[in-house]
Amino acid sequence: MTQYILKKLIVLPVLLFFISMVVFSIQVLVPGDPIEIMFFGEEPSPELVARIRAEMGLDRPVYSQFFSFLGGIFEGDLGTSYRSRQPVTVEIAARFPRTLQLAIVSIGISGVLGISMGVTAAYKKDSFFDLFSMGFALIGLSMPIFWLGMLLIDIFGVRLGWFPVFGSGTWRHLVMPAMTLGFINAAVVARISRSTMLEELRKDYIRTARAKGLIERVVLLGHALKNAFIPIITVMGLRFGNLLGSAFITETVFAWHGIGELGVMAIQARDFPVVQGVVLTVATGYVLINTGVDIIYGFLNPKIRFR
Amino acid sequence: MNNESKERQTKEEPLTRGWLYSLRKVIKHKQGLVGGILVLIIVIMAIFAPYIAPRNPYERNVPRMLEAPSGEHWFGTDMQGRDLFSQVIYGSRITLVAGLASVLISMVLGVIIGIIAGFHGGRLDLFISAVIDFLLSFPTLILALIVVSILGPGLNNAVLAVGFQGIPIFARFIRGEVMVQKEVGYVEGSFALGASKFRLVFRHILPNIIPSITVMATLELPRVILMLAGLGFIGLGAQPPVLEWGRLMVSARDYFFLAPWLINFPGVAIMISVFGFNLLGNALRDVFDPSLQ
Repeated sequence: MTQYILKKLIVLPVLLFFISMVVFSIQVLVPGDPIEIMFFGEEPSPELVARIRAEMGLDRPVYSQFFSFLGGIFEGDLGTSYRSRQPVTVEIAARFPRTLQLAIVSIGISGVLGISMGVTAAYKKDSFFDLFSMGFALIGLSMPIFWLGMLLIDIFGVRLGWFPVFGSGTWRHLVMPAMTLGFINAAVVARISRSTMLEELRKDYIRTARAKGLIERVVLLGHALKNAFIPIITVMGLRFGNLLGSAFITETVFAWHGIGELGVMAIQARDFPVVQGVVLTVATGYVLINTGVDIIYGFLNPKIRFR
Repeated sequence: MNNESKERQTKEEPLTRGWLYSLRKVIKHKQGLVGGILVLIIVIMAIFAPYIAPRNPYERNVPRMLEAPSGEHWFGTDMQGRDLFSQVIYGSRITLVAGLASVLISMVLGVIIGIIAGFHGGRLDLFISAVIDFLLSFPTLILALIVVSILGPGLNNAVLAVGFQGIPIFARFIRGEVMVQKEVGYVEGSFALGASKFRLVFRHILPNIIPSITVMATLELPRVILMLAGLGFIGLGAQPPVLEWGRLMVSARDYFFLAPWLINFPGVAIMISVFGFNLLGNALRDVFDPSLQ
């Protein structure tokens, strides 16, 4: 087990190193001069341009720029936003908790909704509920997330007036974006829960449990769901990372001031230090979560450790 | 009598196996039939857009802006009095062409990379697999956003970006398929007879994995359509006046409370096409490649 965890932990810094390389390459591959983007529409004096160039290290070779970029990451320095002229780390630190909050609440919604729907559908296979909930899930998978968000805004924000339509701050602001992300992901969780539960319910130990005279609730939740939990948790862990990705769209719909919205605005404004910071944060978060899921998986499923 | 006819059926079956046979199986698959019909509707809309659309989708008529759906304007009009129904009809072209182009990019490059890695094996495979695994360690939308942020917003760049994020997904899948096919008896036999690598790949391996590639591409298409619409919606994909559905919705955002139909009709259009391709993809998978389930 220790070996398994160690292996995962050794790969981690290597992955993070290559991620930072990809993120760095954004600034190298972007066509055009960063100074021009910074002073869009202005005419800076040549001395100023030369000074900024030296400050940003643009006069040095690429590999040297990369190492100072990498060094910056360790010192918590991701450069300065072209637009707000604020340190990128400050902007991200201010917004990251909101994205995390949104992601955690919506993964909770999708877990409760998806697992209960999937388990019930599997238990009552081919019933009306099964058909209905799986149709619902397929529609959820086919729905553009921004449209669902706007429908919720229309119904609960405008017509019923229950929740504020845009912005972030209170829990009331959180309800609609979290429901949007939660519903879409519940569709995936429901499908996975149903198929793994179906597989478990077919196995011999379930028949034994029933033959012993255990009540159905114990058979279903104590036996079958307990074993089906591993694949469900894995999928949910992976979805958590993708939530960070789809947050870019959801946050834009609800003007939820998280790092997704920041990233979209930065790409539109060609504010590359911020783009790099956001991509680095999200990708790092995703890799950390995946590693965490792998390790939990190792604990839950001993077979995996010895591969 | 009954037994005899059954026997004849099983004997004749291999003869009828062809694309017609597969088509019949897809149609018998209920989901496949529904999906196929939905996809067909979208395709017909795209091909015959000029004949179906009642008006020029770009024609402005400002005095009649933001009209609710009526007999004259089925889906209502937008902020410049353009006919939304015609815009949605024409939008199917962009969605289909952009979606197919993205999938084609990921498919062609993914297949080439996958074949090289799976067939060649050894260190090259180790290297390619490491790169693939690394790229898959990004959320897919982030990969696309990295490319868009480098190339800049726009439909063409969005297509490239979405195509790029799919390459590792295809490559990993094809690599696995090739490694399985490589070990199959007839490929080894053909190799023993001195067939060239080129011949092995193009005459033996590739034809055998084409069904899996088709299934994979059909299942990728709905995901890609959603991603392109999403990019259009956050302003990084198609730009006005391109009639892309996601883009139509973002333009309508400011008038949302006045004219919800401007959002809802393109939204339904996206959902129907994604839903159709999802169902069709599932059916194709069940028919061609049950092992993928």
